[in-house]
Amino acid sequence: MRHLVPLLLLLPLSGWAGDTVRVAVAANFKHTLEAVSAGFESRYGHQVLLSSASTGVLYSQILHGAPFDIFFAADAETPAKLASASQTPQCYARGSLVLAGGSADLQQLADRTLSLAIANPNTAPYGRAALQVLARPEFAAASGRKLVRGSNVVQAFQFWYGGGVNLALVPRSLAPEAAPIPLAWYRPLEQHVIALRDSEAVTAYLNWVRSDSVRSLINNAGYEPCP
Amino acid sequence: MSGISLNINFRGEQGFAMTMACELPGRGITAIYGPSGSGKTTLLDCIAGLRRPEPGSAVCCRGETWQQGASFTPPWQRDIGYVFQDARLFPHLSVRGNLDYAIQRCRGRKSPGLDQVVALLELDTLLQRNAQALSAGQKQRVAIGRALLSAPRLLLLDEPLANLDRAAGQQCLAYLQRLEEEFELPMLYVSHDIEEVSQLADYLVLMDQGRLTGQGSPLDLCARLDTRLSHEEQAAAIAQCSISRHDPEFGLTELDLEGQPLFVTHLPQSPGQLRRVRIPARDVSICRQRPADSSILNILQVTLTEIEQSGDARILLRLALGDQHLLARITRKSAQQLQLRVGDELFAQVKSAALLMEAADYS
Amino acid sequence: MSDTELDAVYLTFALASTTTIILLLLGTPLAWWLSRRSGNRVAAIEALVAVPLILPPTVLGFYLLILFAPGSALGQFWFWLTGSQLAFSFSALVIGSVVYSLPFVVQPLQAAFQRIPRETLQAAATLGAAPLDQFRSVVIPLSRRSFVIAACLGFAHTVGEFGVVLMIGGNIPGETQVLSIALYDHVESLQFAQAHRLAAALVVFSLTLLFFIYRADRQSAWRLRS
Repeated sequence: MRHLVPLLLLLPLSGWAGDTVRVAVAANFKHTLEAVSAGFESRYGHQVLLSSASTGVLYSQILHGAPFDIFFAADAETPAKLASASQTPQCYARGSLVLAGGSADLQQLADRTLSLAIANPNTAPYGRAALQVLARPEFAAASGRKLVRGSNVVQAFQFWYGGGVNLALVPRSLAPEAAPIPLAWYRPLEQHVIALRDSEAVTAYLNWVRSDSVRSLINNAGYEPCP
Repeated sequence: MSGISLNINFRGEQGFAMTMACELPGRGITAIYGPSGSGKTTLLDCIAGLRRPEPGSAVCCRGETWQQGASFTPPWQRDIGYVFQDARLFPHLSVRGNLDYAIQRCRGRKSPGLDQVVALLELDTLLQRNAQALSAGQKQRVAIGRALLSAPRLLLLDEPLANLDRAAGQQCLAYLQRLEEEFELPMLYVSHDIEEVSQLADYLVLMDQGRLTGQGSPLDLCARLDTRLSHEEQAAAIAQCSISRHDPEFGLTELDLEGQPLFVTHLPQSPGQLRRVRIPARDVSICRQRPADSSILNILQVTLTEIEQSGDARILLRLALGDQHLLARITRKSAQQLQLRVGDELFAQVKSAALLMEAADYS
Repeated sequence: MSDTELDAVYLTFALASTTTIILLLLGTPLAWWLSRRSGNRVAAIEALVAVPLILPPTVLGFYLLILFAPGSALGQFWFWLTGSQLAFSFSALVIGSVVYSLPFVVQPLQAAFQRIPRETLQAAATLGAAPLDQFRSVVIPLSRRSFVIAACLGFAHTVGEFGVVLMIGGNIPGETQVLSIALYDHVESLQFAQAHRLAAALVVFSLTLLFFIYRADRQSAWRLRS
């Protein structure tokens, strides 16, 4: 029994030969990054731990000392606030908005009777983009509609997917078949990544993300290449 | 029919069963006497409707049918008052509040006035007190008053004096006697104390193990040898006497029992009034000759009508005195020595005649 | 305080009050029934009532989300009844809060009712009180303090509700953005000054309300005793 406790304490040390990379990823990119990380793990033998939430929430956590090594945001401004002499943010993908639900007609956004889900604009760049779309004059008539805010893009998508709302403005990566919103209607969603710590594994991971095979994986997931 | 008609078949927990089929008078105080566990409280609960006998039972009271066949009148619709052994006053109300509770639920029946009841039971100093802060005796008086104020046509009392000390109990008994005189309310009084019963009862019902074992007037039942009563340790005959005269010099009163004198300690009433006397069997001894120079004042001429063995060493004798009867308990040895036979003319020495107190004795 | 913050305060108060009133109306007969009976059926219902105590709010929220969806039976019935959607509405929050705070109201009441001896009610019955009358004139006065406690617990528990509202509320300012969600929002967007303000308002409001309720109850109980 005396030896049991030390033994139990040793358990969390998994059988990984390599390092652990802790990644904070914005909700819209999580699913894609899981696929990316699987390839990285099998290739390099390092372990990748993903934490996902909206960009703003992750930023808040990092400010309060969350132990992340890399931060994949959904915009450019947030990583810029974390930039330092040694770390500069880089674009890894360009996101786009789509309108999920109903017919493929974007004029549904002018219909007051249809309820709509977006991500919380306070914490999610996609939510801010959605607000920019809704602010357009042709949709002003529908400003009294039921507007439901999910805590991140995934919850907004889930509200629509579960039938709670008629429409949802969500990333194309979540609903590839849905009607795309014209890019001119919102400020570009250039998604940037920034390394928060330096290590061999971190450098390897970022190189991996930049590699051609991963780039095409990201494109297939519904993202545009960086400008 | 103005009496109480019962045909009750009750099945309780742990195999208890009660079967009672009888007619009880609809006036005066009917006492229900029996040992603990004989079903007395269950009987009252069935009459009140708090417990439900088996279907097929019938309960009728003074013309109203409370249970018959499939119909069952719930307790709040029966015109009964129930004085419980533990008073059961409402703790969140004052005494006045408890009394008002009853008055408010009379439902059109004519309630005895609050003032009359308060005066009768001497509750005026207690009215503003909280019900929980009273002594047991006070609580019981309030409970009686509360039951009265609900204007019942029948009053049920379940061993109301059991939780009271002797003095409070005697006081309560006096109140009950006064109550009976003033309101003419029929009462069913349950008790396991034969002295209480002897004092109050106009009619007596004997119960044992859920069954009826005897009914009749107390005078009649107490002196019969075939009931359990006479074989009890405090077995006593009850005799009805009238006051002949007072003897102030010796502080005595002379009673007339079937033409023979009976001396007791001084009584306040006037000659001619009727009183009941309780004569314990153990205090009666017999002799063949009228004893001379004895300290015992009360020597009565009696005829032996029945002899019965009571236990191993003792004999019970039933002695006739005019229309009434006495009990005597003597040893078997004495009986044999005296060669007692039914029909013998004997003399009974009564060592003490315990007078059954009445309400007026307390004033 | 800004308009949305005032909205959040008002919404929280409205949600807690509505939920408490509904729970007292529904919970009292339920607690009475549970207190007077026994058996397997009763034990099963007691367990059901207690489920929100141990179930994580997110599980509850998850199933409520499915229950309220416009395509579900309840959602369609609601639309037919009121002409508006149940999902992400204030009414949905009320229903969710009623389920979530049910044991906090029913359990104290049940315990209080169980403490009332059957014999006291029998005495009331012999004095002419029918069952409803017995309840009103004996049971309620004797369990008054438990009613206060049950109401306070239900109210406070609803004010503190977060996980369930996060899942089924939709964070709509003026309709479902209650104080706990608004506060969470402010913290997440690093608006700490607003967060402090809201939190302070919540604490002050709750403490004041509870203080006055307990004091009023104590005063009347004192009067009764003397």
